[in-house]
Amino acid sequence: MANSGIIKLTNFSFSYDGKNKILKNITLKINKGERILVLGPSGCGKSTLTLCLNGIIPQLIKGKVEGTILVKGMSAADTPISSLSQHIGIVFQDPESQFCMLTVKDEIAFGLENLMIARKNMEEKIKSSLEKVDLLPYYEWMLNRLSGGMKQRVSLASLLAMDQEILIFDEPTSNLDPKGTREVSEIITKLPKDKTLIIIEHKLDEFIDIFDRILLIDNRGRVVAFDYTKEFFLNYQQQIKKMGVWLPQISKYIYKLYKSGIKLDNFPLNKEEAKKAFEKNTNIRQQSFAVLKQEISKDICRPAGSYKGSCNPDQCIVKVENLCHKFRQSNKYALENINFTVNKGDFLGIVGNNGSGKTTLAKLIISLYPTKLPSKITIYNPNSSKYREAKKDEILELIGFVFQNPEHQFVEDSVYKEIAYGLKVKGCDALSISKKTDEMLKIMGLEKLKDTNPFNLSQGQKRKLSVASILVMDHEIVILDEPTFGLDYITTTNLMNLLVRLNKKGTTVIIITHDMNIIFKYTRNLLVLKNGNLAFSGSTRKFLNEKEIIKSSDLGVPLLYELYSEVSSYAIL
Amino acid sequence: MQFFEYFERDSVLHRINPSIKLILIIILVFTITFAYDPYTPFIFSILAIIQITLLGKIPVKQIFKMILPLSFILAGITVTSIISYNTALEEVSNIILSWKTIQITTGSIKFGLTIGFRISCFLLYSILFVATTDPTDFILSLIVQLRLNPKIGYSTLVGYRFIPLLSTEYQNIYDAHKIRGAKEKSGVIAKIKRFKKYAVPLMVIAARKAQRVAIAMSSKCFCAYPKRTYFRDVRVRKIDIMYTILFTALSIIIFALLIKFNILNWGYRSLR
Repeated sequence: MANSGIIKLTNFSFSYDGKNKILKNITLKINKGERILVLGPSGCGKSTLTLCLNGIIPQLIKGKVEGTILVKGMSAADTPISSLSQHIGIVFQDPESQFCMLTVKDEIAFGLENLMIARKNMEEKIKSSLEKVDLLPYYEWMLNRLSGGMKQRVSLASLLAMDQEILIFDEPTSNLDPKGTREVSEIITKLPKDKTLIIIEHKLDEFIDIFDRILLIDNRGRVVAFDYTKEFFLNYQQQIKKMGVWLPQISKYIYKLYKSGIKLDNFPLNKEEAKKAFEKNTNIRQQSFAVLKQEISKDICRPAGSYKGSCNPDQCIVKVENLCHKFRQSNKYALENINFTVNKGDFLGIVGNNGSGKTTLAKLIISLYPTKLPSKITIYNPNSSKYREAKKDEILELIGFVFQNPEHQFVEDSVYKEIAYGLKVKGCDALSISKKTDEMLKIMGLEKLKDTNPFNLSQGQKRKLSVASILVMDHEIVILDEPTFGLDYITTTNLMNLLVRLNKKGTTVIIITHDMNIIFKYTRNLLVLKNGNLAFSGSTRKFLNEKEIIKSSDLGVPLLYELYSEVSSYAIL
Repeated sequence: MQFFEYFERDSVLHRINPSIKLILIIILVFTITFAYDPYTPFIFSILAIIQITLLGKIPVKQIFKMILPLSFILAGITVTSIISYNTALEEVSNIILSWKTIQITTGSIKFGLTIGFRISCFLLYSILFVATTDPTDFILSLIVQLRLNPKIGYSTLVGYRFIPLLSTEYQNIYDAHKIRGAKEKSGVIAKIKRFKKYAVPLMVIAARKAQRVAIAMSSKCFCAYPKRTYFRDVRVRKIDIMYTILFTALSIIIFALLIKFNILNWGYRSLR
């Protein structure tokens, strides 16, 4: 068996309708104990491929299959899912909707019960699998009280208890904050070597050390490359970039060096390897450092003058004083004693881990929840002839808000009507509505889809539409809650550039995100929330020096910056 | 919308097998339905409260908290029953109040109280069951003792887990629409209209979640074998048999006493 591989695909194709192939002519072999990363643009069929491996497709979800998949010699299309599942386990993307029980121990027991494990052996198995994911103290807990990262670890523990040899992770961290992502990547790294791992993931900086080989699939479902990690990032860098797939930061930098003639041996992929290369190759140190500095100043520490927006330091637009907020059911403050001001034309980032109160704060600013004195939030109306406090009914006209889940805000049954909706409610005349809507459709690249029902769009298109329907209103302030969540590199860059353009025209942009790369690349000022308290408020550049706060609030700085600050001592020598 | 909720405690009632508890309650409540006097349901209501507080270790305050939102409906039904009672059915009418066509007699008050106490009796025994029964144990007991199909049983558990999730989603949609400038009115009719509008996104979200869970369950070998083992031990134990005997005996004694003192009135006959 060792030579024939644990998983073997031969000319495998799949389509839901018999015509449009999601996966096309895939032939590959995965060996026992290998750790494989699957990369590709969104919608390229990565998740479909994983569901084909354990027979869910085509047995539970129907479609047309050509070619074969052999898992441990069994044909995936014909062997019952229940038999295949004894060898393959999957951790899914959404922590909420992969559990069927209410408590941690019951959830892990569920898989064991299905496999007819005797009751007397269960407790020991449950406990030992929880120990492997560092969650033993939570044995009795209700699942809904756990954080996202913990839920994903419980999900992994339930697979470890069932002792499946092949573990698949379908974007396990995409719903998690930086802390949860680190927890999950650490646990995956520690998994025993005899498990075969197949991982779909975007956040490569945290995961890059895990993989042996990388599989790249293009948007037509074809295999472009399947190569060892280092060779992969050396040889396919251009193609990956073109597809809009995220690249690990260090590899991007090393590739740039490579192109400029500095060829480090062993192609470093993580920070430690890069540091070692710096130590060893004294002759190229200065030159490498210069390139690094250039990269940093482009994406992370932008010089103060590079913000072209018209941020007016004298014109305050949002003022938050002594803000405290408590939800009815809870006895803990969701937000406690928050004070800050936002000036007109600012590009503000709000960060903090899940449950730190970011969304609550944003919803308070647009007065979705009432505030009680001495908490006070004042919005100023810069448009009126006299600069003054905005009245309650003006607030929604001044501030636009893009929700975390785009589907929540869809009100109409076509893309065009969806974008025009706000203008119609506002009472604009038909001519200007159609002009503005057409313009917005063009900017977002949604022209061809203008008659489609919003619910039929892909995840990325839904996100674009939800942003478009708010931006078309020309609000004075735009608040975006996780706008880049689940988007690929190209879509993210386009969206952020659009926000930068708006900001230059004077719109105040407030963005809530987990992505520290976006924060450092685009925002001028930053609020850091930690357990409902304001841990930092000030310019984003200054935040880079606040090592204590960065550590205690479980946020990270971009890897390249870490490398930069760690090797800067060598460079001076 | 959470009138009744489960209270995690370690008590006698919590330890009783859910299926046994359910069957006993159904039999008792069914029997009480045939009692046409206010005293019988009243006495059994008191018995329920005693059981919940003493055997279930749940404070009286919590019981009233749960019943309070429904007390208006309860009072409404009682008053309507008093007014709508057909006084012609009475052998002797003691008129207390007479206004236009409405006649309130001792008989009609008795009838109203009968209906009122009967409903409160239903409510209290429902609380007794819900507040002291772990939902997971309940479903497992239905599967093990009452031979419910595991596929249906486990799906029900998943559905139970989705209720709070969907109510959060509903709130989010409401907020999002408000921000988009939709004028959301208050009132019952507006609420129903709104629900119709929100149904599409809610359904889409729920259907997707449901499919994801179904995939997750299948990939954890759900129904791999015709049988399954159970981590939780939901057997019928000694305590269940003892509780059944005591509960039945006590109920029979109460019924016997009520009959002996001519208080119990079986069936729909005129009230004495």
